[in-house]
Amino acid sequence: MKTNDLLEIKSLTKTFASRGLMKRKEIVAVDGVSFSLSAEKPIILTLAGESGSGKTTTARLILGFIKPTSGKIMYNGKDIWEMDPTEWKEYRREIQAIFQDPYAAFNPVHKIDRALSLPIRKFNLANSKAEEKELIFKALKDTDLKADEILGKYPHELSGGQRQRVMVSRAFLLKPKVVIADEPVSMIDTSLRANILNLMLELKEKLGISFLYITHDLSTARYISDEILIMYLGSIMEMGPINEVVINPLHPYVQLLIHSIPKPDPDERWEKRIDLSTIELDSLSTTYGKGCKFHPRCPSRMEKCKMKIPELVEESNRRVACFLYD
Amino acid sequence: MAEALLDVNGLTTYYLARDAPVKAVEDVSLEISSNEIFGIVGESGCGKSTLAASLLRLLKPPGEIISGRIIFDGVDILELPLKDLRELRWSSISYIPQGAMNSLDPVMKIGDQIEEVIKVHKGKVPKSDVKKRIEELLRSVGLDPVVVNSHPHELSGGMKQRAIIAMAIALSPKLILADEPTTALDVVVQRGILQLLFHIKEQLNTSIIQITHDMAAQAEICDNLAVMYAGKIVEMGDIRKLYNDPLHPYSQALISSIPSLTEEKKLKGLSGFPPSLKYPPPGCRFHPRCPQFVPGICDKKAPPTIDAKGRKVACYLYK
Amino acid sequence: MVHAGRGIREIFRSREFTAGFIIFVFLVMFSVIGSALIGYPPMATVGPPNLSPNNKYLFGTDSFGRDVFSQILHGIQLSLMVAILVSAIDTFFGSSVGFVAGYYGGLVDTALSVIVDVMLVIPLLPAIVLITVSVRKVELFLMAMILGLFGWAAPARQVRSQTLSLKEREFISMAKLSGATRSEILFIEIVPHMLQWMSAHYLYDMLWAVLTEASVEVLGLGPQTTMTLGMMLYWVIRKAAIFRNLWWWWTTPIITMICLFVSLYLMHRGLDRIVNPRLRGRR
Repeated sequence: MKTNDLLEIKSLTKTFASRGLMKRKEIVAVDGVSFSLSAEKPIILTLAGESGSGKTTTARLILGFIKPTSGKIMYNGKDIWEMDPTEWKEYRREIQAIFQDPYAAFNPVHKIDRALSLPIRKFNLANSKAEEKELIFKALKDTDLKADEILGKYPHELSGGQRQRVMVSRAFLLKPKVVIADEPVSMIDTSLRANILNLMLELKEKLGISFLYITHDLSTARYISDEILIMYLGSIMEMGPINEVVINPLHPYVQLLIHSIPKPDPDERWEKRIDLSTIELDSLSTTYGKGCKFHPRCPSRMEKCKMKIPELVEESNRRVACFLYD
Repeated sequence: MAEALLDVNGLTTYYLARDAPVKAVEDVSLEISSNEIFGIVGESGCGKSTLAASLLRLLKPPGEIISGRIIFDGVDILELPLKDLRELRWSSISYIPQGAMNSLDPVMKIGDQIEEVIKVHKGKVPKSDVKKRIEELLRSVGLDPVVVNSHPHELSGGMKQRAIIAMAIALSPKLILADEPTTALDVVVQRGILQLLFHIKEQLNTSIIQITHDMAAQAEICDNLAVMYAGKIVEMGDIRKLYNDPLHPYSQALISSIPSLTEEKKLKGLSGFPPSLKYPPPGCRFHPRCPQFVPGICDKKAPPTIDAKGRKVACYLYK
Repeated sequence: MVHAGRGIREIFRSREFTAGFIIFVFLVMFSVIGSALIGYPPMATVGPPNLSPNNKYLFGTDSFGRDVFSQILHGIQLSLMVAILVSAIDTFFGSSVGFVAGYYGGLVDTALSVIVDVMLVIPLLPAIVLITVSVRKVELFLMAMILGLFGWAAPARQVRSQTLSLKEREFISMAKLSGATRSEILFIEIVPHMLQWMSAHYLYDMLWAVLTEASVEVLGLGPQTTMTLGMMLYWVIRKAAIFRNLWWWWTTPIITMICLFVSLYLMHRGLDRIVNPRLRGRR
C-alpha cells in the first residue's frame, strides 16, 4: 500500500435502492472497485465500460457528489468524507471535471464567462479584476479560442464544440491535480475530437495533470491513456497497460468488446457473425449475487463461475478477474 | 450498366425562415443500385438527416424541397400523388429515423405495432398469414417470438432497435433508409445490428442507405460512401478507394481524425467550426477551414462535381 | 434568456402576450383615469335608482341609485389589487417553500411536503365558507389573505419538482466544482432559472384570484361594504336585475370581467409559451 498515491480508491461500493412498481430492487452500481493514481508522475487512466457498467457512478463518487455505501476514496492519504472544510475546499480545487454534454454543463441563465470567473473568485486565483481577465484570456487562448468570440455570450449562442473547449479552458485555468473527464468527446463531431483529445494530452504533459478518462470508446482511450480499467456491471474485469489489454485481451468480456469494435478500415471487416440472441439476456435480468457477473453470456464459462466471484489476479503484466487465469 | 434503384438529381431542400432560409441540402445528386449498402457520412449540421427525410417527402415544416428529381425504381417521387406515396412508404422504401427505438408506442405491444405496419398496406400479406409473418420477422432479426407480447419498456435498446428493423423489412421493401441506426447502443449490440443490416442486404436483396457520423460503422458494411459537408456532397464513391485515398480535403481530415485501436498515429483535428447554413460561406462551403484553400478560386464559386480516380469529388484541386 | 433586457424584447415578440398586455394596460388606465375624473366614491347614492345609461351616468344607476360606471372603474382596481396581492403571496411564498424543500431535501423536505399536500387537499369553497362564517364581517384584505392561503401550495409543488430535477443537472456539478456553496447554488444557479416560470405563474395566479374572488363574492361570501365586480354581480342577483331587465347593471361587470380574464389569460399564455419549451428539455 503506497502512501504516495494521489488518489486511492479502496473497495468502493455504491448501492441504489430502486423503487420499482411492486418490489424494491437493489442495484449495485459499483461493486468493490479498487484502483489508484500515483503521485509520482501524471497518468491518464481510462475507466471503460458499457452502459450500466458503473463508470459514471464511480466518477460521481470520486467527485464527492454522492456518498459511497462502503469503501473509501483517499486523496493524498486522507478519506475525503473525513476531511475538514479546509481540506475539502482543497480537494474541490484539485479535482476537477469535464463533462460529456456541452449543452447541459452550462447554466443557460448565465453568460459563459461565469464558468471561468466563478472558480477564480472562489479559489482566490487572482488578486484583481485585471488579473482575473488576464487569466481568462490566457486559458481561452490555450485551447485555441478567441476571447471576443466567446466572452459575453450565453451558452446557447456557442456551438457544442466551442462549449466543450471552454470546459477544457477551465481545466487549464484551474491547474488541478486530477481531471475526471466523463465522455468528453462523445457528443462532439469526429473531426473536432482530436483537438480536445490533444488538449488533454497537453494538459498532462505541460501541466502534469492526471486524468481519469471515462468512456465506452476504446479507440479514443487508446489514443490518450496509459492504463485502462474495464468495468462490467459494477466490477472490474481487467486492468493494466492499455496497449497490452487492447491488443491482447485476456478476459472473455474484454475480448468480446475489443472484437466488436468496428474498424474504420473497409478492407478489414468482421468475419464471424455474432449470435445476437445471447447478447441481451442480462440487460433485462439484473440478478447478481452468486458467481461471475459475466458468466451468463460467457462463451468460456465453467461450473465454478456460477458459484464464486473471481478475484483480480495478476497475469501477463495486468490483472484479470476470471477463473481461466486463477 | 444496371438501372439505378434510386436516382437523385440536384436535390435542394431548405428550411424556410423569416430572415433567411437554412440551406440544409444543396444540389445533391447520387445513385444507388439494388443490392447495395450506401453510406452517407457527415457531422452535425451537414444535412444528412434532412436528405433522408427529403427522399420520402417526410420533411416537417418549415422544411421544403425546393428543386431536384428523385426517381425510385422508375417512379418520380416528387410528382407522386400523396396516396401513392403512402403506398410506397414501408412497402417499397422504409425509413428508420434517428432515435426510432424511443418512439415506439409505449402502450402497444410489439406484435401489434408490427401488425399495424403490415395492415396499413392491405393485400400484401393475406390476413391469415399475418401472425406467422410477424413471428418470422422477429426471428429473422434475432428476437425470440415471445417478444410479440412485450411492451417497449420491457426491451433493451438493442432489442427495440431490432424490433424497428423488423417493422422496416415487414413488407419486403427494396430500400431501407436507416438514420443513425446504432448510435446510443453498446458496442457489442452495435456490431449485431450492423451485421443484421448486412445480412438483410445479402438475404433479402434490399438496398440500404446508412446515415451516420460514425466512419467505422460505415467502413464495416458499406459498398459506397458519400461524404457530406454543410449541405453538399463533397466526395462520393467506392468505400475502399475513398478510405485508402481520400481526395477531398474534408474527407482527408475526417479520415485522419479517426483514432485507431491498433495503430499508433497522431490525430489531427480540423480547426474552426461548421458554418451556418443560413449564410453559408461563398463558393466552396468548406473553404474557411480548408488547409488547401486557394484564395480567389475557392471563395468565388461552388466547385462542380467531377469524376476523378473512379469517384466523384467537388473540389478545385481536381480537374 | 432570463437576462432582463433581452428577455423583455422576446416577451413582446409574442403576439398573445402583447395583445393581452394592451388590453390590460387599457383597462388599468381606463379605471385609474376614469375614477379620478369622477368626483364621488362608487358607493355614494347619487341619483334615482334603475336609471338606464344616459349622459350623466354612462352606465346608468343600480337599484341603490349608485353610479354603475363608477363602480366598474373602482371594481377593476379592486380586483387587480386583490389579484396582485394574492399572487404575490402565492408565488413568492409558495416558490420559496418549493426551493427549500427541493434543494435541501431530507427532513425539511418531508415536513414541508406534508404541509403542501395537506393544503392541496383541502377544498377551497367549504373552507372559505367556514372561515367567513366564523369571522362574521369579511373585509377585502381578509379575503385576499384567505385566497393567498389556498393558492401557495400549487406553485410550491411545481417549484419543488423543478428544483429536484435541476439539482441533478451538470451545470450544478460544475458550480460545485468551482467552489460555490450550497446557498450560492440555490440562489444564483437555481432560482434565476425559475424566474421566468415564476412570472408566468404570477399571471396565472392573478387569473385564478380574480376568478375565485368573483365566484366567492357572487355566492354571498364576499365583503358587503366594498363594491367589487363580484359583489356587483351579487347585488344584481339579490335585486333580480336580470328579470327586471336592468341590462346596464348586469352586463357591464360581466363584460369587464371577461376583458380582465382575457387580458390576463393572453399574457399568461404568451409568457408560458416562452418559458415552457426550455423547462421541458434542452435547447
